Amino acid sequence: MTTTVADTAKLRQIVEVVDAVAKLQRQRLEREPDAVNYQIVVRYFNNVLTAKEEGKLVVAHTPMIAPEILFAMDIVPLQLEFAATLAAQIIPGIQECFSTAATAGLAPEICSAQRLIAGQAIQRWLPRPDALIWSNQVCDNTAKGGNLLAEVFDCPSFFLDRPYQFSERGVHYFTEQLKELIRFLENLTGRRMDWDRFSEVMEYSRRLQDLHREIRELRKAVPCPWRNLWFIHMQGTEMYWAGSPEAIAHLEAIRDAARQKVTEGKGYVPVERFRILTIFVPPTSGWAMMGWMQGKHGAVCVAEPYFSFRDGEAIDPAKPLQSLARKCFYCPICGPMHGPASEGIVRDTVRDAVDYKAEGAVCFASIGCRQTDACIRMLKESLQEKAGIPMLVLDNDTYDPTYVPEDQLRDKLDEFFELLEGRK
Amino acid sequence: MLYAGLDMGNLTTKAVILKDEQILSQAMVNSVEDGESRARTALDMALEGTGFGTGDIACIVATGAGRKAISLAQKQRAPSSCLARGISRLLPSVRTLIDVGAETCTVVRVNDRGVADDSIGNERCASGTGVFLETMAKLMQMPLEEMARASMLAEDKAEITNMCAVFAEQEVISHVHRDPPTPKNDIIAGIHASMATQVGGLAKRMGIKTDVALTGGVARNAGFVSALQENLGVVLMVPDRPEFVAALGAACAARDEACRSA
Amino acid sequence: MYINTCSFVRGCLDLVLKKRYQFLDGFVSGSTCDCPRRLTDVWQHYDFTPFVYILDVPRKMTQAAHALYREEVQGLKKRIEESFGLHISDEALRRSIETYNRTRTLLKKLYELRKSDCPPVTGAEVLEVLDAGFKMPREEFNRVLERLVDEAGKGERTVPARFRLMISGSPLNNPEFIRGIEELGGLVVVDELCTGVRHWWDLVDESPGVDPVEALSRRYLNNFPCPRMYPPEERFDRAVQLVREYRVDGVISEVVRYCVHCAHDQPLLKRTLEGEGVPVLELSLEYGASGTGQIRTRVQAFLEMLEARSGR
Repeated sequence: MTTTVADTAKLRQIVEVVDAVAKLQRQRLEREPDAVNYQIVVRYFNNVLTAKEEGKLVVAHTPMIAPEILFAMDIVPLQLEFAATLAAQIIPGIQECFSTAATAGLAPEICSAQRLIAGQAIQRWLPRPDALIWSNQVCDNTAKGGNLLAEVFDCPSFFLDRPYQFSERGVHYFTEQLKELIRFLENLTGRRMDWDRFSEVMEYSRRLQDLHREIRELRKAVPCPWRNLWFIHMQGTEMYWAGSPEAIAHLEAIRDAARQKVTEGKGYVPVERFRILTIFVPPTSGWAMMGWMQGKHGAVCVAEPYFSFRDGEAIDPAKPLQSLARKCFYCPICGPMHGPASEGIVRDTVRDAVDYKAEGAVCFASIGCRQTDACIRMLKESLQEKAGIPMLVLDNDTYDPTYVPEDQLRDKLDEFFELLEGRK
Repeated sequence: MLYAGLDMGNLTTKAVILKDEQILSQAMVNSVEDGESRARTALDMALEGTGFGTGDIACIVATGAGRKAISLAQKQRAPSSCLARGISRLLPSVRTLIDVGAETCTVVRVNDRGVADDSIGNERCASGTGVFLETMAKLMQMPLEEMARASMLAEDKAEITNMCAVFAEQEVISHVHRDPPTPKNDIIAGIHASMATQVGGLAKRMGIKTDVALTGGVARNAGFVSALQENLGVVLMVPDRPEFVAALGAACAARDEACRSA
Repeated sequence: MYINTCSFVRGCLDLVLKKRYQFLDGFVSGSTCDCPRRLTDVWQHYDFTPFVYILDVPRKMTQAAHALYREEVQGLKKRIEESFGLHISDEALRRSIETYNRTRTLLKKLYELRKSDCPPVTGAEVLEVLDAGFKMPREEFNRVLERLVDEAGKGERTVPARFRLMISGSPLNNPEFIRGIEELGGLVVVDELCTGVRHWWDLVDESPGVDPVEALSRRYLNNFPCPRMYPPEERFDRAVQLVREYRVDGVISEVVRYCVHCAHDQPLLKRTLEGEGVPVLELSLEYGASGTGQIRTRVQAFLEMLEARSGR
């Protein structure tokens, strides 16, 4: 059960479609940030496709492995969940991937992201990487998924162990883990880490973080200068492009577009009717729903507590390794996914609801995500008690559209906006 | 002037007609026809013998899961807002409403203006709905009405721990085949308790503010009502015709609608 | 918690909500997996006990991981001392280690007896003993256990074993479940459970020169690995070793739904064991399920398959 041949047909298909979308967005009014987003997605996968001829190594990894280290070592990253997401949206046949994963012995209660990645790997949707890195940065599923993948890809692999909570001793351990990872990559490439280059990469990372915070401030404006889909794009860029000029270009385009609106005193939609807090992510097949709720209901996503930089910390490019280790404790997803919730996601959600004048929250409860779902009741109650707003819970599966049809989700949203209207 | 509310449920269609402020009549049809004809039949039945015709209705509002397909209605309203509206007319002190229908279970928090403040529903599971009880009634070979009585006579209750209707069915079967078999009444009390755990769990997710009302067809089942009261530790208020609350709310909304456009 | 929280953790929460833990002053948890971690969050949020503490538990067993875990254990000790106004002396720790090691030694003896062709105890009985250990004061448990080991060692009682089974997987505290299997003709001679060998197998170092906190943290991180640990082969190798030592004919691998670590290990473990020539029956169930109905049917089929294989 191993893949030996590099299959690039599926990746080429993805690149082709995304490239066409980028060109289309370019021609549309106020879609500059979208165009830049799709453009850098194309560049990301083109890098994977051309790595061999440029003599570079491709290292596959699961979410929240800081790409900064790979960029600093001139290695081409391939974020498997990101590739899986795009593949799921563009290429038919994800149900076959799920059944392949089931045949390999993965139970249905395993997160569909892991089942999809495994299924794609076995079915050779993706080229075989030169190495695999995975981590418990997000959850148990990402922590365990790598064992099978390493076997399927039959390549050198590294597990990055991340402590549960922020503490100086935890940061120290994680820094050691990152050093170990660097040694692993040095052995793989036969080259030493270029620490000056690492500092440059971390300088991009620092600017990116500043942009995140600047954009967050702009979104506090009423009406909100925000296109709902941007937050998904923005988080994608943070996850797979952090530490690169491409990421800066993307977030600057978003920042400029938002700032323009704020200066004009306008929102992204002509009439802003509801300000919404988004908890976790909509299913990959339902991203268009975010635009739909903005167009049909004037519902604007103002903040996403799971996907925000926590306050306080800054990156020091002069200390790249330590800064990167610390960043992993407060950056989007990594921070809020781990605990404790009282100093994390519960506190941040209430704070965002108040700061962003949210009128309701929409929570996407993915059946595979035990960590976010276990917080639902605490979040709902806290929002009710401390911010006075209701939270809609939408059961779904992030990757499997057959679990709950999108129509049902839209009906629930229709109903929720009716309820919000009645509460006004 | 007449105003009508239609509740297009999964199995039944309910119609309530208001004459000015007062309830003129109501009707319920149980059929598998398409939505449009079910809606028409329910309205006709409700109007029968009142001396009025459809032409006298100034406005119709549809609610329930099948509300979308009804061209007869001028407006569609979400079940949660209609339930809140209906219950605050019947029992104004209610702040939490639990509606258990054939295939749905909805919990609505009602604010002091009689408006839905928040709501939550069962998504992908039959275990807290009328269908669950029906499945169990078939399994126990007993009409639904008798189940209620039987559980009130139980001396003990069988433990049914599985959340899933499919697995709960297995558990019930194993109680029946046990040696000696668990008494029928106890099994039925266990079934009601298990369903109360489901429904109660959903209600607790929303938070219980008194007074609490139980509506929907299942509210007629005294065995379930007492199981749910035990689970929640509160007394439940049940309106006279618990399955008509959403349709009544829709009729009230129809009246508002007509007044607004007049 | 939500529907995708494993039933073991939901069961824990259920007991708190039913006010069965009123006697507790505090709650200590390890950052083992997503569900217990969130249970700790919920525990804190709803303030079930005034004292809540969660330890970071690394997934590796490297030198650096040990250094971190040792400080975590030290941190727990300090917090307990501060919160309850106590002093935990090294001497008291050593005494406690000795008591717990006594349990481990006795259990090892009991398990040794299960290696024989006709063991003196059934798997269900052993699980009952282990369950008692979770509830009783440790000294008292040791006394009872000692008597049991003595009696069992006399060889007066033997249980015939048509097939020697190992049970492996998620938390299991329900002797009825094992009894259901044993009634069908398979004898559980050993387990690979976190409520069994993974709980008690290794001893804590009692050497006088070793700092007790150091000894404790070493033992608990290096212990028979939970599926959460990396690399997974550590667990698989030890499982294979047990299979050989206890001459196991077949393995019943039970995974509580949403026990994701076990679920991910499952295909790899199955292949490893089958590579050793030992068939594996996979069961997906809820925590606390009894071995009836469909499970019985599947176990029966598994035993018939073992029978056909052995040509008995």
